[in-house]
Parts: sequence; C-alpha cells; structure tokens
Amino acid sequence: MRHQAPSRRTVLAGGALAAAVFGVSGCRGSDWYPSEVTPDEYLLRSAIAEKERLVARYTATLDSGTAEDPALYEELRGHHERHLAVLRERLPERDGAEPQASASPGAPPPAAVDRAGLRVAEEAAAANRLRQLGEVTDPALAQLLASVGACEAGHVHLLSEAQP
Amino acid sequence: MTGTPDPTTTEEADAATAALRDALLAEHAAVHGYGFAAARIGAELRDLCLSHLEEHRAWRDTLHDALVAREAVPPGGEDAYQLPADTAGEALRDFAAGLEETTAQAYLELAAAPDSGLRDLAGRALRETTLRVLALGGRLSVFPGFPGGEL
Repeated sequence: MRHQAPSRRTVLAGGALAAAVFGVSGCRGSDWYPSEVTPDEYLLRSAIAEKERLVARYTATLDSGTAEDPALYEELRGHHERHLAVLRERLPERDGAEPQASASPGAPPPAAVDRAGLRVAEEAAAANRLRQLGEVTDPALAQLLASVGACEAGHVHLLSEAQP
Repeated sequence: MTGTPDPTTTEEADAATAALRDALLAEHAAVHGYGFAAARIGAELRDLCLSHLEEHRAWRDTLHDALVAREAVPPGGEDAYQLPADTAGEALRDFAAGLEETTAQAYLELAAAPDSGLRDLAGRALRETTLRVLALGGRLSVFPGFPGGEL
C-alpha cells in the first residue's frame, strides 16, 4: 500500500520530475512580452489578478447583506486568500514598478452576485487553472495551479449543494 | 502564449513515466480498497463506494494505456494491500478518504510532467479525487494533493 506522503519540499522543489525538467524551465521569450517578464511570470500575474477579483466578488457579496450562505462564502473567500498568498510568494522581486498583467485593466470592481453567479465565477476559475497548467514551463508552478484548480472545483461542488 | 512544453530529453521522459507508474499503482490500490469497502460498508454508502470504484477503474485503465503508448511496462496490482481491521462505517469512510489522498498526491506529482497532455490528465484526475473526498463527507483541502492538503 502506498501511503508515503511527499514532503512539501519534495513536491515543490526536489521532486524527480520537477528536477528533470528544471533545465528547460525559464524564459522562452516572446515579442509581445516586456523583455524582463517571462511568460510564466505573465501567466502568474494573470492568475493573481483573477484571484483578486474573485476575492473582491465574495467581499462585495458578503458586504451586500444579501449573501445566502455567509459562512460558506467566508470560508471559500479564505481559500482564495490563501491561494493568493502562495501565488504572490512565487513572484520575482522587483525594484521598480510592477508589470501589469490584469486581463481587464481598468475594469470596475466586481459586483455582488447570487450563489449561481459565484458558482459560474468558480467554474471559470477552475477551467482557467486547467488551461494555465498546460501552459507554464515551471513544473512546481504547474503543480500549484493543478492543486488550486482542484480546490476551485471543490468550490463549485459546495456552491451547487449549498441551500439558500 | 508560452507554447507547449515538450519532453525533449530521456531524463524528462523517464521521470514522467515514473510519475505515471506511481499514479497507476495508487489507482490499483484504490480499486482494491474500494472493492473491500463496498463489500462491507452500510447500504447508504455502498452505491457511493461502487461509483467511486468505477471511476478509479477508468483512471487505472487510462494510466495503463498512457504507459503502453509510451512503450513502458505498466505495473500490475500488488498481491496484498494494507486494509483496515475496523470495518465500521466511519472507519471505512476514513479508509476511502485515505485512498483518495494517496491518489491525489500521485496526480500532483504527475502534474509536473513536461508533457501538456499528461498535465491535463493529472489536473482533471486531481479535481475528481478532490470531489470524491467531498462526496465522502470530507472537508475541502485548501491545497489538494499536497501533504495534508496544506502548504
């Protein structure tokens, strides 16, 4: 029976698979990226911007006073905040201005929505994570995106079951 | 945008194959374990266990085929598995959740594969195992697949 759990260090940094592909990770370059931003960083910033909007949507819904299940929404928002913190940890440190990677810069802040609206947002997030998983070159970031996407799929399940 | 990462070295391919084999071994254990649990658990959870058993069988076959496609030898199931002595409902539920955690960790390892097809497989399988934990009445982990569901 295989119940040996890999350590966080093993999974994130020292896994055989991650080590094997480490040599091909990194910047592949692209004419339409700022030269100092790798495609992985651009994708990471997009995921962070998307997560920030999800947190803002939950906050708007909770603040509206119309949330059908405030306890559940607070729990799910907390998950997103945890994801955000780990995603931000992976950003490279910069001295100057941070590159903008929002998919919709200048968009108005998310408005309060009902349970079905939150579920749609979570479904979109989980689908994006699956797409991003196949696009990044960094294997450890791929693992993180796979895990975050699985949690978001769990959110969809919980929102589908929640009773108003 | 970033292009599709391809396994270009033997070392990468070997690592991906090893991760596939680990995932298949986890699925063999899950199929065996759910068969054990379904035969002993109460009627209210038997259908759920049988449903999960079928899903694990499907992933087992998918992984088997993926290994054959890579001209690798798929590992068979083991002769014996560690099974719970306590077959009360709650103990069997915990046992099933443990099977899901083991497969989740194997798929997380596979998600590091340089092959985008294998990553997609791993991502979808990790989602499914997370949803099965919820169906069993377990809590949603913040980081499914990582040890303890945490980082």
